[in-house]
Amino acid sequence: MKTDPIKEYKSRFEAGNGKPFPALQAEAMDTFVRLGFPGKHNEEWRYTPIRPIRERVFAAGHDTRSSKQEVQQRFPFLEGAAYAVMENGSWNREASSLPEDAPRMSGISEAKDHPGVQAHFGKYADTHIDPFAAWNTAFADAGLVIEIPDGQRIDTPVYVVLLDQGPGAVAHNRLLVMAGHNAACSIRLITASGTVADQSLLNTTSEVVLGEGAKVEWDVLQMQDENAFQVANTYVFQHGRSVFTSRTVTTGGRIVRNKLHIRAAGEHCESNMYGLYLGSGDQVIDNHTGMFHASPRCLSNQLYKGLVGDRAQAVFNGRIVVERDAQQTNAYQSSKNLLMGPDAAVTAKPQLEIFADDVRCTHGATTGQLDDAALFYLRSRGLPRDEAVSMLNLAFAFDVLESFNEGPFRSFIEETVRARLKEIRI
Amino acid sequence: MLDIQNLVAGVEGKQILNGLSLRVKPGEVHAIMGPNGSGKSTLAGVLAGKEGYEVSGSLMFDGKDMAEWSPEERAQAGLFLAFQYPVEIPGVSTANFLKEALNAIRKARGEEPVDSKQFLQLMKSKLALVEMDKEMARRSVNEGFSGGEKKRNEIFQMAMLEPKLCVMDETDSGLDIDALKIVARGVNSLRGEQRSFVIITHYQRLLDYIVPDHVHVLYDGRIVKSGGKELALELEEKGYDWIRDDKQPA
Repeated sequence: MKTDPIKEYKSRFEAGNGKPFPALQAEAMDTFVRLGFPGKHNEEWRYTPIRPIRERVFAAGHDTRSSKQEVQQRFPFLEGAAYAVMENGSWNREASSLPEDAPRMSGISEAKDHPGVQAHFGKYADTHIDPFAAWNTAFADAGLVIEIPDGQRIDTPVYVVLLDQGPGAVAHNRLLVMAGHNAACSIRLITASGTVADQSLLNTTSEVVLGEGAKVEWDVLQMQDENAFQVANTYVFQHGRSVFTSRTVTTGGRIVRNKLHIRAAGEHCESNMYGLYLGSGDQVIDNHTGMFHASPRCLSNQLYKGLVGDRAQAVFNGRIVVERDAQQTNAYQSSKNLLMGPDAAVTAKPQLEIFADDVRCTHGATTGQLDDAALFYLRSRGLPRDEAVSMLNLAFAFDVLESFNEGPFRSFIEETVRARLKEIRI
Repeated sequence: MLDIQNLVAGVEGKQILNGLSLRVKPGEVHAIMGPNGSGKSTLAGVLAGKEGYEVSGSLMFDGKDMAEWSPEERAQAGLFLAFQYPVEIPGVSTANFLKEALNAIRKARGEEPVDSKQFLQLMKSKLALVEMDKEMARRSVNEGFSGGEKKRNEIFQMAMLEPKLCVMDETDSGLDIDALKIVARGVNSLRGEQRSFVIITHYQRLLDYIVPDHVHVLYDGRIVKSGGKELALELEEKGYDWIRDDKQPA
């Protein structure tokens, strides 16, 4: 008889010990069992077929560990940088590099009694309604805590490399970032498939708290193999006058689901969300954003762009909630897509729920095809068609790419995007 | 250089060019004048290889049949079209795409690619030709440019790519007299024994500044009258009705 995946995960949970947050994690496991995996009937998942995730039993883990040299060779921008490698859900300390001036990083188990961790862990994730967040929380034994104390502004970025590893394995990555009052940091996440990865799943839940006046940049490059899966849930909580900027570039993965929820809890917050996704083959790339304006005089800005070819499917669902007290909110959202073939599909859905009356809120979603007039213009100058298409595609992606700070990481992303665009042809 | 015989072209079943013939020798400047709807822009599009036309007849370029060539193959062989409505392309800088285009053309000719330094030097001298700022070449192609700036950018690109045959589609439209003079000066400096021009225009005005060797009248999709530069003046004076009346049976 076929094993019921959820039952298997439950028995695996019960067999485990040494849970850092036993009560919270047991509750999360119960929620996961109760909710099960979402199907098409679930509005939040309607356009995101996840059968390949739902129907298999993912293995608990794999013991392959990358060396520092392997990681740096693959991601040359890491040389000399502060970075942590999370492999198969736990911290590979040997492959990581944390110079003196890097922010404090610790494992969740060892940091569990830290007052900040006690105050914030599991407080922002919607574990009670999101099965993947619940699943993650139940198994979040080996996550990573990054803390930036009050007033500390760290100029050099911190990288976290999340590798899936092993055949059919699931890795539950858990991140907690606490930026204190007036603290500043730049965190860059790279998700990629490890050397022996095959149809594995990264299930990541991140919680990011910004104190008053804090500034956090959250850059994500998702470049897993074409048969890998990823669910990334990110929950951001902003106190007053803080600035949070996320930039997400998705080039790889068979199924990628990103949920990014930001709660602007204090006044004068600024929240920026940029996204770029490139889909080909049978990829499914889903970005669900949620911008929750709870306080007056905040600004939010979203720009998501997608290039989708072959039979790929992309979803952008942008929810903006302006609560009754959040007067003088400025909220902007734009989603633009280029369909590169007759079988590709994009679902772009703005979702506005506005309960305050003095609000400026704009949204726009466009889905179009390559501009034939521009293509002819470039070709009439002698550029071969393929080159002209690549050039126009790159230009389409440009305003998201240019939102990244200049440097080797941005160059790496641009190269990755450029190479990927060559594979998305019409 | 260019030999068109009995060119018939249409779009979506509607025939626009009805057996047009034209022969342009190296170094010659031909003006093609015609009223609205006579097929001027179709001729420009068909010459540059724009898709969407049903074309028959003979199109020889430099002794080779170019009828089946793609737009880029025509450009690589030395044909250049200055657009009536140059396209705005956000995110693509003129300098960047032009360097790629130039190197694609050089590659087709079996020449070494130019490096950045050589390209910048070349660009500097050609920009001066049409009094364009270096900054304009760094910006996205034609984005936010005025009508005059767009046309100057066309001539700048023409100068950079050094074509054998330049087809200019109503380059004078939307230009004030100062911009017209700059454009004409740029074009005149590119004239030479080995380079030919086909200047498509509605008005005679441009031909005051770029003096043609031959003038043809395009009417109802074919050339109905050819002559020297004085034909343009005659047209300007008498209007296109003169041609129409002329064509009417007595």
